[in-house]
Amino acid sequence: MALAPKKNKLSLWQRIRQNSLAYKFIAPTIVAMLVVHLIPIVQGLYLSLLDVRLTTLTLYLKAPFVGLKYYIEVFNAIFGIGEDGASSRVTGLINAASNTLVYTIWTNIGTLGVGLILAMLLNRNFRWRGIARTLVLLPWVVPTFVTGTIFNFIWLEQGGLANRILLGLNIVDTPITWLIGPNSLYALVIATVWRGLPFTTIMFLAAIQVIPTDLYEAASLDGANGWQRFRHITLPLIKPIAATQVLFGLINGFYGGYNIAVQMFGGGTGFAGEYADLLVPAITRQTWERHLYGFGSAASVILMGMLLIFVGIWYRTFRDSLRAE
Amino acid sequence: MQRSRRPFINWLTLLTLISMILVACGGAETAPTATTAPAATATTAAQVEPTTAATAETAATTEPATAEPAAGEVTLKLWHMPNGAAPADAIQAEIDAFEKANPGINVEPEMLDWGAAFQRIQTSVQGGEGPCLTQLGTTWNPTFAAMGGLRPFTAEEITAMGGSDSFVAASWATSQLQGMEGTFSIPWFADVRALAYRKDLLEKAGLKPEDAFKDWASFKTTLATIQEQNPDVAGIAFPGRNDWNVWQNSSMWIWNSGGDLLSSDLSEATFNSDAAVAGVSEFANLYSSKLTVTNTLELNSAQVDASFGDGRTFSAITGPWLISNARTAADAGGWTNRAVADNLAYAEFPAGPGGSYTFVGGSNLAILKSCENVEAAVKFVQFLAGNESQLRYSQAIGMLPATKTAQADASIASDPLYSVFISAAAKGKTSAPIAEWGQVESVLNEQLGSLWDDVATAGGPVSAEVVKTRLDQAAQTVNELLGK
Repeated sequence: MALAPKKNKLSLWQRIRQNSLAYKFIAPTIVAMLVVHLIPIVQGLYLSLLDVRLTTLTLYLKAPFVGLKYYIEVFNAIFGIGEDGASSRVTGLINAASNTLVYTIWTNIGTLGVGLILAMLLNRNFRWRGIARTLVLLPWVVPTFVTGTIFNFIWLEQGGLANRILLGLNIVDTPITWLIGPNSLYALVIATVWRGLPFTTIMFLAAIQVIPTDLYEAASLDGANGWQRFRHITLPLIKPIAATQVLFGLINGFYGGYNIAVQMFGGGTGFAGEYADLLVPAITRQTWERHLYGFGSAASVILMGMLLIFVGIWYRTFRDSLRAE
Repeated sequence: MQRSRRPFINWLTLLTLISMILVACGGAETAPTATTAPAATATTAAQVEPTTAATAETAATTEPATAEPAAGEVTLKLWHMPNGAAPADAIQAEIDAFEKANPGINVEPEMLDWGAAFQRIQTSVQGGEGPCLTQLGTTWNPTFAAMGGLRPFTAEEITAMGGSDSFVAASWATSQLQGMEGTFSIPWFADVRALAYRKDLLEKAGLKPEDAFKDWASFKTTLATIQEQNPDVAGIAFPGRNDWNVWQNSSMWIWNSGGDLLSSDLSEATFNSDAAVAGVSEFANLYSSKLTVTNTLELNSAQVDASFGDGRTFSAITGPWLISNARTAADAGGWTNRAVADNLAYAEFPAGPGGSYTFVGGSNLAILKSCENVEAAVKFVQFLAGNESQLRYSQAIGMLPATKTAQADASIASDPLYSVFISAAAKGKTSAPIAEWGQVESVLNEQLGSLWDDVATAGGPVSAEVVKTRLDQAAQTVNELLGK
């Protein structure tokens, strides 16, 4: 322990030399990560400065250099600035951004909230616990495209499972329209939460299981009730895991939804309507269908920047919890 | 011990890194070697030179390479999409027949999902590697032709297939590109839209098809009458927003109303004209007038067909593929045990103020510029455009042949169900042969899709202003994309 502060004072190169064996083992992974992640990111950044369109696509990275033209176009599309008051080559970005924000908030509330409840239930001793834990994990093995297809049938107004249950239990009098109109976004949120629950549940369950039981016993002896034990023991001790989950949720929220949306709405067209169009489907659709590849790259870079801001906020919020871990 | 182990780990790390780099870099070069290996080794030297000069524009440079392999085996790669209920069997039957007639040419089919096909072909065109032959959705031809990815067919090759006049006019139009001479693909089969309806319910209502579907007014009266007599049956079903056929289904109402999608020189959007707005409003208000299946706006094409098959609707906007459903045994997934099987009939779309037109789509066959066996590829295309293959394949997949000769064959022309499509196809319209069509389609799908949201939430008829606002927005975007 006494050596730890000294280690921190070593230069990066010295630390690499000191841990050379470990670095040799991770070297192939580092190279693979560079090839798989860094090169495409750099290529995407460069592409966003080029005029890559239908007629220049075959030139690819040799397409004419246009600098920040597409960045300006994306901002014009978002803020309605342009020659005619708004650039209309790309449409619906501000609407998609607003939907994405609502989608991210609700999917996080859903997966974290329900995931925590499920984890606490599955941590209790009951007869069919093993089977219950397996069942909770099932959605995880369903590919997202399949999830979209399944939920397309579940949400059908006539004959769909959701309406059958709601009508059967007398919760509603008339069938709800899920796949068109304002409910579309919530149809997408619920499908995403269903698919995301197993991961959050298993992470929370793992975190809860390592909490020493004597803490609860001591609290009980001191007269703490169930809520107090949860509030003052469980919650603080799972905070680092919760923080990580929020980070995953943010990233999944911003970048997610594409596969499910594409299959649930439209069998491949990728347009979930103005009520449920998200940023990534909107950018993908307009990039590929309208052949605006330079625009697509610029929009993706801006989306990455926006996400980094949120990650920054996340880090500031949970910095102490992460350090405590 | 540590000293003796360190060099080993150093070497192991180095070897792993080198092997990773070699695998990453070598992928692109090793793949073609693997695929050409089964072919005659004698051709290898001959093919090297054209490959290095592959960027040359003339297709002629590739032809010498194909003249030599006649002595050996030639392998053609074909990309096709899941056409019909048994797509692999249907294409294999054509390949078997072709290979039997053309020893030495082997065709290797690969089925692509419709959702992924466009990007796969685009990547292939961009990278200069891919199959020799590919199926193209009719609206894709201009895009890939403009990218310079397709090898044009020569006048002699087209003449050998019977000439351009031997194909349905609307289908042939999809093989061209405005502003560029040449035929970039050959129509393979036609997807023609019509109204499927239940003739038993029409007879019960005492109506004749020629009166019932004569014009918009009589059509709406027919739907209302049928619904009144059959409380469990809706008037019509059609896909709303959640489908590929958003603009296609609306376009027929635009054309029949006297409007058009683009101006005659194809340089400007006209789908927001007064006539077009009136046509789309007429279509949209079928839902508001409660003449449709209640959830029709959320359905996709397959679900619409299913609701027709289940007897939940009197009519549906669909294609000829229901014929094979009606004639396929129930235990093979067909409808022979249902009321609809004996009562399926088709009608052309009711005429509006502008006439009666229908949408003609389908698929074409294209040879990619990177194809090294052009002669063999042309032979296969000529085979597929031949009468025998046209008849067999189109019936296997439930579409219409693209050639007039095949359409005139007694097996189709005298069939009461197919004959409606032949008559409709003669008055068919389709997408514009411009490079930007994909963009036009995307914008139209978005705004018309949003219009279906408006219709679903309106709680009553949507006004012409609502329709016009959507179409104006689409027109503004399309005009900007077209450079107007």
